[in-house]
Amino acid sequence: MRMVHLRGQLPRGQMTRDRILSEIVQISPTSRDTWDRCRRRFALRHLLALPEPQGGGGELGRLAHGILRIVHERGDCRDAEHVEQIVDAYDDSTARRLRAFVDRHTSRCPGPAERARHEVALARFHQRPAPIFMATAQLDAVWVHDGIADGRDYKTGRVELDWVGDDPAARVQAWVLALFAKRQGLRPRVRYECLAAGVIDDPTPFEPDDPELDAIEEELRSVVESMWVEEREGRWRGVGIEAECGHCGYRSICPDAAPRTG
Amino acid sequence: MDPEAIPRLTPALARDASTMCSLRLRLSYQGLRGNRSSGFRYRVRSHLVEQARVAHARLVAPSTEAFTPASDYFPEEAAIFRAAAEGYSAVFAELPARALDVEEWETRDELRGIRLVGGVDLLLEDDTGTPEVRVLVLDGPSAPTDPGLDPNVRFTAARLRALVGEQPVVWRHAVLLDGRRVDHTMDLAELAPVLDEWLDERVGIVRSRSERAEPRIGRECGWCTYVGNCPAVK
Repeated sequence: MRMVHLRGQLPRGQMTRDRILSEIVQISPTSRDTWDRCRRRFALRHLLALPEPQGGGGELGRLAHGILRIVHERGDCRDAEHVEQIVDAYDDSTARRLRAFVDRHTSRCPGPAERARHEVALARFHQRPAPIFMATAQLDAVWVHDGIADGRDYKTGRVELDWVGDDPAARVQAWVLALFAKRQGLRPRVRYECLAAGVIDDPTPFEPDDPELDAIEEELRSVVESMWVEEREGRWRGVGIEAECGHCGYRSICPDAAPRTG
Repeated sequence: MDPEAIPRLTPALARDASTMCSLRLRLSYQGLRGNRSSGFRYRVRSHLVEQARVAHARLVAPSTEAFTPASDYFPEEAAIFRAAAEGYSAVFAELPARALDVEEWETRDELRGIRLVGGVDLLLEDDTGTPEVRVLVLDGPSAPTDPGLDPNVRFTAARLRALVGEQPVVWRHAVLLDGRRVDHTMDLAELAPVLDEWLDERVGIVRSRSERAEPRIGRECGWCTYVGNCPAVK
């Protein structure tokens, strides 16, 4: 295997020993979201891997993701008895909530499909024009049906979107999924399955065509280029607004954090 | 023979031999250099381990004065470094120890024709001369419930056999930001057959999968240093 020579492709001045960006910048739906919210948090969390205290929430959501995977791997989500056997291992309150997540998923489930994979990790590399980057994404499920690679992202919290394509994180998912789809002669689709109680309609799925996918690639390239500007100028400045700092784990040690009031 | 040309087994390769991308496995095992990663990632922990080793040049319990954040740290890194240094000093306050003068980075395994690389953070001895290895993490889950079965611990034990001989070693795992510590005594003489069998099995898997290596897309592509010319992701 021949290694790519990267020096010529990096912005000038970026080969100093102590830079925080790697030669190949990794971008994921989560890191893209963090970048859009606060560049300093992005640097601390995704480049320096500094520990960030986690919020207490999200446990049930993670559990629901795991349950949906197991339900499909071992049987059919529409088989009430099968679902019951799986959620029955939990206490009454948790089982009731998990059952509700599965119920809401059932009406959205494309299965039985030609093929299905759960918790699918995908990756796609961008080389030219510079800067290079590696995009990765994990989808909760990819169903193959009707000529579509139907990527599903289960959302157990609030989603305020009309169209999945408006979410920068989904655009990363779609671009990465597109490579997987293309190799199998399929079209990519990213759909958010909103499984929280009270949500009636999911946002419209995102089915990017080739020009849209090219636009996403350029969008991501431009994001990575901006990262190199931050690196070159040594900024990585925090956004400093309450809406973001209020739920940032680095707030107490960040020099750019919004001042606490009250 | 150039030592760099000898295949290298790391804790990650030993642990993930059966599951990781086999092309990445082969290139890592061969010790080929990939694309450069930023040296900043995880540097707080690395600096802390280095400074702890220096602090234990003599038989002492650690104190926070022995730790100094790097001058080019982000303020947040400095804050976490100081908190971790305080954690280390508190967690090991009652345990004076002295650093052993050994090659901590890698050990040659002549029998298998490989180098065992990494896996030993801080190798010390207490006031009775009993060796102890300290595994330091900033945060995350506690130590494995059954360290004897944990691949990382087994890897460390395999290296310790070569470094200190087949004797009892105390293994201490500390989560510094939470101030938690778990201790476990390993009798390396007793463990020897288990370690040999385990290493043979792991090396066998690595060699066998390396021979028919094929790239495979997965989460590990995100941190794979060989991805620059990998056909699977283009």
